[in-house]
Amino acid sequence: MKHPTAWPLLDRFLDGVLDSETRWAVAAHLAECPTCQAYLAEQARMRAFVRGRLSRVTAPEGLAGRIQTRLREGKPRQAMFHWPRLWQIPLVATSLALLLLLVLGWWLLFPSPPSSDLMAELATPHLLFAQDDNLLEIAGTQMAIQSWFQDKVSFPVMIPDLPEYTLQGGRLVAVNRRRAVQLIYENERVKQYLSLLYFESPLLQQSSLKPASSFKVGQYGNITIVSWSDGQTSMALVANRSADHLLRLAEQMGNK
Amino acid sequence: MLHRGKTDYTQQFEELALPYLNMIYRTAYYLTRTTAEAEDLTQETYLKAYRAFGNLRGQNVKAWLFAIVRNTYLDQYRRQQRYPVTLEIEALEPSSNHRGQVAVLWADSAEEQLLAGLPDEVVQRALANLPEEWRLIVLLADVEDFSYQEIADIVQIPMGTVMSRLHRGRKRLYEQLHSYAHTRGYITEGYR
Repeated sequence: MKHPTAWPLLDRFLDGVLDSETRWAVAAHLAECPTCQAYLAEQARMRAFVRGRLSRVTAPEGLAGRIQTRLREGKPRQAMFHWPRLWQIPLVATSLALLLLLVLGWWLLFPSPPSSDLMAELATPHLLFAQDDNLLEIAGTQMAIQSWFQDKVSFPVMIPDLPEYTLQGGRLVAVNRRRAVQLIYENERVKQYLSLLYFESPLLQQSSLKPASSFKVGQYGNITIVSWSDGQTSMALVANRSADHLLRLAEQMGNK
Repeated sequence: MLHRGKTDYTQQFEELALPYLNMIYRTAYYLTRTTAEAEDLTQETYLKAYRAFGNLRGQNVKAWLFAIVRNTYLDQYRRQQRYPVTLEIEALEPSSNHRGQVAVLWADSAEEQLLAGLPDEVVQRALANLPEEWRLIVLLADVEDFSYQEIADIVQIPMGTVMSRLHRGRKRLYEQLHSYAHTRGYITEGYR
């Protein structure tokens, strides 16, 4: 993809709304275009900066209580649910059956997004943020980083020690249009970066499988992604390393 | 959605809707631009939502609430113009140096630190100074994590218009922040 075509797509690339083919093409262009890289990095920084500052506005103390008091003083205008009368039961049963058919039909016609989109979504934060310390939102000790994420996401975030890697820090990213966590590690010996992502993905969450049998390996260009789920949260190791290397790290994480 | 009796109805509503209180208040604040009006608008939003809760059928509760706060603002507050027009930070127009250039606002860590030193209020008022049609969209996209489609549904405009306003809103916001920092001596060089 040439620069004039890629340039207007950069905002949407960062917003994660491009289809996988276009995203591939933009990512390929980014790998060769320092101007676009600089713009994208700048946009990412400004968005993180603005988001952090604007989100500090919070409701004044006591507002929740005042709202609850007003709710209890008023009455709901809409009718509340009543159990159906005897003659209404066949009608209700038919409606429920039709609804079930509709849901089943929807599920068959519009299945979950293909996993190739997920691989692209997991690789993108690594491509964008892993190699620039300025793009970290939090750095410091494992405890400080873990504490920072605690009130920002609804799932637990563990900060593992990875052999040969040093934790650099982390940031919030988006996967499946939901808030996700990116931890960035560096292997100084080979000058390689690795991302560990925590995210929510119904595609991966299979509660009954053992960790060793549930690893999924994907590729996005020269980026390898190994992903798995512990039933509550999904995780992924993302790096320009071999699948064997990432699988070994993932298995070590699962054994701890 | 089943609820027996007023107590259950109220409890269900509170469990679903009150977790979004900070987000709703934040949106009300950036729409009305005063804390008093923001609290007022937030309370009205929750009352309206409470009355309409019985009609909620599997919709996205967060998007539903945001549509209510926006519509309540349009119905009751904008018409009455109960918010001040001028704010403490002037809406600076981008200087001629900024036009047509790649917006690299901080190309080194020194500039990044200086912008990071801006008070929260300056950043918040920079958003509040944006034209209303850009302000809400930037807030919904960049702070409250709505998708383009969800924003289009809340604001009731086409998705293409969402993208266009979002791009312009972000651009103006970042230019304002840079201009403010530059003119008040936070940054001593123009950007490259």
